[in-house]
Amino acid sequence: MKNTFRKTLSILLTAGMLLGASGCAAPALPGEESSESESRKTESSQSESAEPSSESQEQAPESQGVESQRFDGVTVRVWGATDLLNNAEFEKYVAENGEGLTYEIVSADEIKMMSMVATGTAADIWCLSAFSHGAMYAARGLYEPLDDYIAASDVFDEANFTDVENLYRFDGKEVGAGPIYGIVKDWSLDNQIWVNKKVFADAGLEIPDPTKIYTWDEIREWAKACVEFDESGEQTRWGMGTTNNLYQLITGMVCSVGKSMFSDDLSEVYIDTPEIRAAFDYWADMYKSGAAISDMSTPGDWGGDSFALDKVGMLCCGYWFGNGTLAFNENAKDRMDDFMLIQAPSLDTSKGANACMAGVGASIWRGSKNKEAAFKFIELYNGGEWAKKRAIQGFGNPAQSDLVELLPQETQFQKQTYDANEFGMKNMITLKTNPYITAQGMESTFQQFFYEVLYERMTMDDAIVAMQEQFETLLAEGKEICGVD
Amino acid sequence: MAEKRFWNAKRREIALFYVLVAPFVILFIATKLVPFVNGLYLSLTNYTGYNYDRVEFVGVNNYQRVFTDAQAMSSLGRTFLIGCITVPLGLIVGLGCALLLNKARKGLGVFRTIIYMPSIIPTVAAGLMWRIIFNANEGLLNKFLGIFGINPVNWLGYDHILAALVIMMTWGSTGGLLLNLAALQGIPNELYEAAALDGAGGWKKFTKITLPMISPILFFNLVMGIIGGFQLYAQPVLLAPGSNGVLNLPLKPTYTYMVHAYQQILGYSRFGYGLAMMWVLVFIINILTVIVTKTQKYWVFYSD
Repeated sequence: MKNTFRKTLSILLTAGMLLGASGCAAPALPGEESSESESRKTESSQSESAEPSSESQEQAPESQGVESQRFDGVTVRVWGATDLLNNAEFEKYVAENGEGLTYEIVSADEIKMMSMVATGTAADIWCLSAFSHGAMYAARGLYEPLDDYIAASDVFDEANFTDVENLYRFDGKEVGAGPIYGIVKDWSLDNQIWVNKKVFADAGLEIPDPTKIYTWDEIREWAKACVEFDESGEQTRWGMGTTNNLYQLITGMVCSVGKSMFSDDLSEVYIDTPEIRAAFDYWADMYKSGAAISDMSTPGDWGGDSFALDKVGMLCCGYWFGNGTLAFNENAKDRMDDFMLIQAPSLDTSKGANACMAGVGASIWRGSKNKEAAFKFIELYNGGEWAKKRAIQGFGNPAQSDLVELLPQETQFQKQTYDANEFGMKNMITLKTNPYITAQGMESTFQQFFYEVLYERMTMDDAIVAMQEQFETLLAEGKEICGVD
Repeated sequence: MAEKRFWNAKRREIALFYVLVAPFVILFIATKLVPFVNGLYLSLTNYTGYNYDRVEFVGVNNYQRVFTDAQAMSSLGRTFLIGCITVPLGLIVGLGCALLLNKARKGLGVFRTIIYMPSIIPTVAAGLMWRIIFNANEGLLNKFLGIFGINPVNWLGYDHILAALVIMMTWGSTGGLLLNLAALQGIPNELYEAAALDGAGGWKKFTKITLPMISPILFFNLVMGIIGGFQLYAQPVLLAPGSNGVLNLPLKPTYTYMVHAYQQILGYSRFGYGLAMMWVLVFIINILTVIVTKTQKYWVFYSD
């Protein structure tokens, strides 16, 4: 009797625990409040009886036109737009212009977003880098093509897009062609160079011509000339800092001479090339000599603050740095004419080398149930008055050509950087990426072997062979993931 | 005869037990067991992060790959070697600090707090702090060595990164201090008095009384150290070059097995393979734990 009672009680309690556990594991449904998402609902004139969007709002853009639709009761979930956190001004803007639309910012990294994709609860809008994620996620069927939405839109005109939009195009065979899978918000030619004129003068260097394309070798000479040590042997000045990672730097160097690491049909990877070898040798030399900021020698930051303190001669990081960061630096804001922007270097001077290596934009998740509303949000966030406002502030290039002239040009510094930036855009190249290999995969592989070569634990030849093998494996795996033969 | 009540004291006690453990069991199932089993399932598939709706079963392919992947095997060996240095060092430092703090002296509470502090500082904060200390250019450690005329060392470079990692981990190994201290204070004083009467000196007392009496705690710390040693991930990544956060790639001397597993998942989207690597590690840790447990009879003294 006793044992029977114990068994019965155990079974009942265990069943209760399991039921409770399965209840705990149930995923949130789309549109429900999630404890994991930071909700920033805008005030809106939403009707209490209105239900969240489903098939009733999922109309083809041709039949109704996005601008005449109401989105009462619809909340789009946005991933990656960290500039919209606690942004009361944007909330008000959406409330006034969003046709009843509300939005919430989703805090997640890529791993968490993968889980949300698996449960069908991913964010409607993904604000990620066009360079690293645009074609890659398009190839994996995660992005919605936007051509029809753009065609029906009063805010965007495809003919008005700058060439940076090519990073979001992929036709299954080539990056830069085919449907558009995102719209860039802000972008820069990330391999242009900022020069500290004061450091250059102190180092006995001539002030460069902002319309000339110099070679990477010339840049290296300048960087080494800027290097200084104090009496105790500690380095006190560096030649260059950068926000670009190895993959970006190497890709920029390779593409600057019209070459690519990948075959035109994206089926092959070319690692054993003079350009890759030159890039590895170049940065190894820059790091070892202390000319470039690295873990071998660093002022304590990536170079941004040290540049304003005249401890770094150059920064490789694009137009955004000037009005977006340097102009707010206490050590720089009152002497902006000490800084200038020049063109991206090239391995040789036969071709232009200016390229966008980031370009944060917005794309719609293919599984979203609020695509119309999501595109409306993109119109508000990436276009219209909000895009004009950002262009006037000069935090980066706008994606729409007609807004470029709104970039700040009042002070001497702003005029110089505007001219250099505009010159760069006219000579812009689109970096050739391969959507079947993730940008992180490229970076991890390059990093792994670069440091082996840097510290002379591996010869360049052995590193090339190992990288070729690794990239070929990644390419094959990526094509399998994307369902490509 | 008095009628037996169903809810007698015994049954109430049993019911209370299940009610009290229910929250833990529910949370354990939901947050540990379910992910465990799901991870095991995914390790047998070609899961890449975004193909959950069309994932395919691949059998033991991922597990076979672990043993044919040269980097996985070399990183496993490297992790074992690092553990052979850091685990004993950690035990020695933990025990040494406990011995120092076991003696009654003025300001003992302050010393205990200071010595115990490294183990409660979050790993990431400690890692960032040590990166600054190890900085070749303006780091505190090189400045300190400079006082003695020693040239600056590139602590985060290839040649010295392992030493830097060992220093950082040894500094943070005072976590076992409290347990060691409690064990030391549990040793009856009469044993030391009797030994003193027999003419035993300090070393004899330490080896014949102290060590055997605290050997169960040393055994526990050893097992926990082995588990922690094989799971080494955060510290090498924090000392690695670059600013890519969790995807910083440590230099080869500190490229551990878990770093390789995380790279497979986060860097290369090889979720199935990365999970298989982790399950292999679970198996290896279990084997080692069993082996160490079997050695108990030779060196662990239980008073009962």
